[in-house]
Amino acid sequence: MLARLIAYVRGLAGRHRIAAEVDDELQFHVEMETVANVDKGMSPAEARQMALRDFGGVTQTKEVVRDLRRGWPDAVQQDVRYALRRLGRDPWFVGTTILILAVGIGACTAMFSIVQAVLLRPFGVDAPDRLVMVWTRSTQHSAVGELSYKTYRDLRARTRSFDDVAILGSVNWSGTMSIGAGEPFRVPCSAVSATFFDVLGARPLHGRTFRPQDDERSAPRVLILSHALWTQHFGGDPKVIGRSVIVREEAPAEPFEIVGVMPAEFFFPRGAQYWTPAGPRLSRMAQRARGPMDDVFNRLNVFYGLGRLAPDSTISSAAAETNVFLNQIAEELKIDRATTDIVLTPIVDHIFGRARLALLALLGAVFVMLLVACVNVAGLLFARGASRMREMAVRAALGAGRYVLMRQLMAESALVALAAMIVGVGIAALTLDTLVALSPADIPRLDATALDRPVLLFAIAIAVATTLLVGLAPAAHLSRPSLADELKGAASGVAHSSVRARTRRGLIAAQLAATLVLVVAAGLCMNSFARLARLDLGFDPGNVLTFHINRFETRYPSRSQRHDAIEQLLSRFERLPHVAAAGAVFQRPFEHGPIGVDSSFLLEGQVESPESRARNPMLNSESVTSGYFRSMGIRLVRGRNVDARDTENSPRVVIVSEAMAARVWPGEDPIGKRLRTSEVVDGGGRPAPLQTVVGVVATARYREIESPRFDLYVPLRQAESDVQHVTVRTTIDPLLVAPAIAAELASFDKALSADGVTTMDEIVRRTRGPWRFNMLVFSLFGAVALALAAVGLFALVAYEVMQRSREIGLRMALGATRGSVVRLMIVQGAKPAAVGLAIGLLASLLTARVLSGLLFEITPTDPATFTGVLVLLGAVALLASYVPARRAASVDPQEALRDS
Amino acid sequence: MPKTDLLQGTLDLLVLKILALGPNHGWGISNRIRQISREGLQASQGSLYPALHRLEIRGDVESEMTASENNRRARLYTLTPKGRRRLAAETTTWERFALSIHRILHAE
Repeated sequence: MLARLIAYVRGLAGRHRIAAEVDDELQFHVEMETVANVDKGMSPAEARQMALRDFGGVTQTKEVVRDLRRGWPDAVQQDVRYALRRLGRDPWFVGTTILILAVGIGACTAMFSIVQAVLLRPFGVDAPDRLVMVWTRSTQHSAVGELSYKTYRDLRARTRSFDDVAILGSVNWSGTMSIGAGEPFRVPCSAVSATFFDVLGARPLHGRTFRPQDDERSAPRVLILSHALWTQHFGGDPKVIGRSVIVREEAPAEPFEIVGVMPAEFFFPRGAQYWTPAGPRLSRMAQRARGPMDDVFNRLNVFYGLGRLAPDSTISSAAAETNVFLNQIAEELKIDRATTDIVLTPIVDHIFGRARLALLALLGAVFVMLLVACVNVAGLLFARGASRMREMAVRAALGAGRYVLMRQLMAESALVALAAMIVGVGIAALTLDTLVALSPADIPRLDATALDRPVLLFAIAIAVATTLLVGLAPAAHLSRPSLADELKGAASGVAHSSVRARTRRGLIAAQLAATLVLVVAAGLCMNSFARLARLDLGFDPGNVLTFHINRFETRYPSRSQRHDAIEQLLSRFERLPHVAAAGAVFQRPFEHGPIGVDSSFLLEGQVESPESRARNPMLNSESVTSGYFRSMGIRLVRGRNVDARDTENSPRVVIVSEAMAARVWPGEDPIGKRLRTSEVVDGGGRPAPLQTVVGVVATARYREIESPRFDLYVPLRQAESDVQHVTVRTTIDPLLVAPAIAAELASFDKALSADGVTTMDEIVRRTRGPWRFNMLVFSLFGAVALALAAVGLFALVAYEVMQRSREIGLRMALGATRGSVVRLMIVQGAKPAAVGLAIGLLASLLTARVLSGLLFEITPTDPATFTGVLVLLGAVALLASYVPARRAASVDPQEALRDS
Repeated sequence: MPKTDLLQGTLDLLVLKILALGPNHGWGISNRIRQISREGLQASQGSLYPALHRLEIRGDVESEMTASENNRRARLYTLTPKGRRRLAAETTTWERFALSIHRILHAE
């Protein structure tokens, strides 16, 4: 074996040299023989003729020896040439198989390029599998809770499971940045501990990351720029390090020194454009609130925790230790240990969230579709193999070994797969942009999707796998040594190889099984999306224009100025034509996903205790103007709306949602009940004032679309937080009214402008994006697979009819009706179809659980969906069997018998 | 003299033996088979050259191109130690085989 390999490799180095040597060797022989003949007394001419005759076929021998001595690139080249010639004789067939495989390979490549860009690429962090997010979670409500600055310090000091711990603030904190004399612009930021970048193992592109002294309460302000911010607003200039930039956060604007720039692939937390140490920012917040500094540091639970596991820790051991730690500080933090835990999540799950599951599920689905395509093509090759049996037998008889025959057949498969890969990559290139455009917006890093090297390598690997999968079985079957005997023995038509028939039926069953799995997934996604679309959101998103007003805080620095301004602005909007109502709210629905303002509360007469903490859920706090509910179409169920009498000096009132009332005062009338919400930045030690419930509105969905929270609405003038979003209900298409709104805004105050103008319809549509995307893609794959399987089944039954036409003729001559032979042929298709569907059903039941994270209000084994899919596929299979089976009825018995 | 087509196995054996007498090229081997068998055997060149190549692949002989008497290059084959061992083994096998046949043919 090795010797053969060496000979081949030696042959690599010069086909021509080999040919010349063999030539020389044999010519030498002939000439020596000629000389010997001359010595025997013949004339030179005679001598040469005699020598040649004695040799017996110089040219043939030359060919044989040259072939033997030749290296494998030559053999491959000849195989390829022969394969090309062979394939060229069946252009339609070859074209069809290339197209089918190209669709499969192209879809896989496109899907993989997305997965590569989003999930697989490194994101500038060391060993992400050792990083965990640290949350508190209450069993009362599914939301996770954040940590305070003090908890972070305690965690860092008192636990051993982590190499180090950091915190990061959520991205809805922002700062308004002015560069030089330029326009100020709002920039989302994350307030982080000094340890943040070190824990992640992230290194800056320029400059440095934070040092411990940057996190001191009175440290000079510093920040680190994101790559995007740096290229967009600072011209990508490395000399920006050390420069100063004016940023306004809570307090009056102050200069920040730029100490670093992060590289492009770093994007944690998602959406942050700059990072700044949390300590100084918190101390500014405390100053503004004019309350004790400690309150802010100890009780403001707004940070996500992040830890790097120590080398000898696991997630579970770290979780156990942190829960022990929680026991120690529970009293201090006023946490009810019976219902609150610390939970650790691997960082990858947090960053990608549901997108990861969706992408991996889709990648799995596209592989299944490719499988169907391959099995389909294998079936086609098998069928066509019948017509090549004679050719193969002859070549085997002429001396081609089994290995040689298989090699040549695989060369054909390889060429087809190569062509399919090229076409497939082309398809992927063309459709990739569309696919990315249709993708839900919440998938990070999607914009980096490209057909780069890893993707192309993947395409090649797929093509190789396809070659093997598609070509191996038919090649092995066609090159089998017993072929010649079978051909000799078989009479035409009646006895066809049972192995081939069984294989073809098995291939059909496999296709249908895989198709069923895909179509079930598609059906579940369709069902989910339909339920989501029918969902009562609690508000009416139609005809609502919404936007944020730029530079509002800059123009109106004091709270009362802002309140006056917004109320005036809203009444001016309401006077415009086509405007039904105008209002404003702190955070409109679905703006930041789960991020928002959570308030805890105490009922009148309750004191803070474990019972109160257990009984009272966290509330979603919103500050609103009087026009808000009308503008959003939120129904007022009981009591009254907020209105002009609710000012800073009037008694504190709130409006609650139906769900909140039902949870907190089940069976009672909530009007008149009183509570106090504890917002920490409330000013010094006094208990918060009691608020009276004056109205109940319908439950609307604010944070996640899948589940409502318990909403508490506070009149603007009595609220801590300002309103951020304006909502305007129009009587015609909102975008047509937008220019009038913009004009009114400008005429009110030309320094203001509307930002992010969109409609609630668009926002809702975007929020439903992930479910819609999954539905579309799974349906597409399912449809393609179904089409392939149906065509394969059709071909199988058509073939059976053709093969067995003699038998059919016999039956009809013996008295069978046309109907019964048609039914006989239908059964030929129905049997493998039924087997396939049964296997597919089983496979689906087992694997559908994978999808449960992607579904909405439906279980992965939803009986209605499964029934529907089975009926659909069954019908398709019957149809695909019936159409060709009808031809059986038109068989003329006499002709068929004569043809034997 | 009729050409007796030798089976591939026996041709290999004869070639090895000829080469045991000294390195040679294809023509020389073919000649010697004729000579030594006193014209009883003649290897067809269509079998001889492929056989030589197969022996080389198996490592029983090695070869190289050399300059020669006329201005054609010739490939000179030499027996290897492995080939020598194979020759000894196959000779024994063949002689036993021939003896058995002889006994049967001359049985009473």
